[in-house]
Amino acid sequence: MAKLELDRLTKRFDGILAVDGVSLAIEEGEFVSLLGPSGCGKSTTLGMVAGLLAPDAGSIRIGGRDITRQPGHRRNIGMVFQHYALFPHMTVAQNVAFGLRMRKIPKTDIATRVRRALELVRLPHAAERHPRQLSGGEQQRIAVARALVIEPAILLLDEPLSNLDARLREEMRIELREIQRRVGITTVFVTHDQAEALAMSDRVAVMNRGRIMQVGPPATIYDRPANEFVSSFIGQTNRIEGDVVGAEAGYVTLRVASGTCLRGVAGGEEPKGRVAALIRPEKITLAGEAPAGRNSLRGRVQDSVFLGTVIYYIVSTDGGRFTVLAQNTGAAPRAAGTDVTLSWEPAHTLLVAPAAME
Amino acid sequence: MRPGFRAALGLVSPACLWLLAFFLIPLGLVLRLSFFGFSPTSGIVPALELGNYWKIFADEYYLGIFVRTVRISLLVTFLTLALGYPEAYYLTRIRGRAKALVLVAVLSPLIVSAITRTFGWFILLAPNGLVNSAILGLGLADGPVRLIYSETGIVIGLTHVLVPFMVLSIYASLQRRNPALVSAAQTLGAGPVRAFLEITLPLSLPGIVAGSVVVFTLSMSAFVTPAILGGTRVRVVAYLIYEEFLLSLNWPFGAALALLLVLITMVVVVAYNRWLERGRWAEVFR
Repeated sequence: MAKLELDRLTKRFDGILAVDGVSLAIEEGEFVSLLGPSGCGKSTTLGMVAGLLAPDAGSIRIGGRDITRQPGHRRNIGMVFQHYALFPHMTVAQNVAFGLRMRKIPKTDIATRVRRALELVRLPHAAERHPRQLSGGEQQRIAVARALVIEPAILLLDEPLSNLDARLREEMRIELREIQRRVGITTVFVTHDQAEALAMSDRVAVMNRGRIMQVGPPATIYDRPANEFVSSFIGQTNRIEGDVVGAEAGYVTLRVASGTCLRGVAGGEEPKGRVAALIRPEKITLAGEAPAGRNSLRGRVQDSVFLGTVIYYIVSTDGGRFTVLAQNTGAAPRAAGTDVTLSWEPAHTLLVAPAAME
Repeated sequence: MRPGFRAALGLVSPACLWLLAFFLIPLGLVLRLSFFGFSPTSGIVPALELGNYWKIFADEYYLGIFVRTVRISLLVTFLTLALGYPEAYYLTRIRGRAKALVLVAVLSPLIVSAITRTFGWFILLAPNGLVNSAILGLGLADGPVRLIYSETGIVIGLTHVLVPFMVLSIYASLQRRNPALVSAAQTLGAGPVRAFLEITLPLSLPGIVAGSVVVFTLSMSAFVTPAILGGTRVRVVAYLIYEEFLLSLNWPFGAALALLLVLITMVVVVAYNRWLERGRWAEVFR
């Protein structure tokens, strides 16, 4: 258990920047997710922490000690791999004992610690079985036991849930987090699944093109994304572009193409010139008339999808297509073709610099 | 009959018929022949007796040739393994043009015809050949070392031609492994050597077994290479069989030698497989 610090970590593959100056401090016992699309550098970052890849620049410190140049097998890091990477020619007990054996722990201690590790993941009866005789979820838990039994300083999880079916994935999410809390180990979790990252983490670091876009608690990442990438990668978002025309009482006013003025708050830096306003679908309400003080746009319902607890509307407005998520209050859903007014709080209008379109 | 079974039967039956017609039936004929008698004046005498087999077991000359053949084959298997494993491992670590070049180099002994290749070795290993000149030039020996017409020559020649089989089968099993396993071993505290010994090597055992079986079997039955590099001075069983069939015309005795060769090869191969598949790494073979 220790603090993990990454300082301007950089890695190139054949001259292409895979990780571009990543700095991140992870507190003792904290659970931090690296979230991003494939190729964003999250797995490469993890590989460097594990000592499987050598960084081109930057440093890694565990508990204040610089381990950048230390080979992976001397780092005391537990890692769980995407496909579990259990040794197929060893029994479950031998798999879990492997790290202890490498550390020359006496045989009797190994037996006790293996038993305790298997109890931790609720699979004490699987000790003599071989990995191929276990289900995906069981293999996953053995991989966790194998990583934790060595009492590592840091636990690294590389997309450990992506090979499980949906139901098991949710169960394992809870179980993994529970084990992590009980052991109290500093954990870095790599995933491309935003729901996983939001549900499990103390903090989420959103990555894109080798850089960290934003780090923060799940709610902040979701409600106050620092830029358009973060907002579009996490959850759904509505977007409307406009020009800043003024500011008053903490709100920035922008005029959109149709001439309508909207008020919003700055997401990242001070909004200037052309900006994009981002509004989450569940923050918008549909009504006949907009209440005073709220941003509003006129539109017409194009389509609706009934999802049980919520109703999902697609509304065409003079500012483009909007999606709106409305609670199912029992009232009949608005039919396609109905004229509506979309309204939302200025505080829920996040103004960010428009992303360079690729 | 389940449909899947019928389809399977349809798929394997051409191969089975082929084996039956051109392997099993001839093998049965050879088996029958091995029980016949032979007289230099009247030729093959139909009979049902074990005389040919007694003759092999009673005569140290024949037993010696069997022992030598097994010894050469075991040595060749060991040498191809020692030379082939690093080569196969290296092959998994390179890409593109380099890999293509190394593969051609690996397969080169098989591209050259057996006669050309073996006479090439003959010239190299002859008393006044390149190898002996080098040995003498370096002062490593007082006179030419006997390399042709010796077991050494046969082992060198066979190892050269059989290495590709070992390399390819080990390479295939190394290719199939999951690279994350070595990474996992590394994060658990295994250095490169430990990770190789504990993970890579055991998981490539099926390739080692397949390569060893092929190399051993081919060494046991090799004819051209031992015939040229050993000749009549260092006979192996295959050469003995050739002599019995084509020079002495004692077909029944040749048949007995041939069957015994097949039997010994099978026993060694099966014992080797059993030993590995029941041992510590049994799980690797499932």
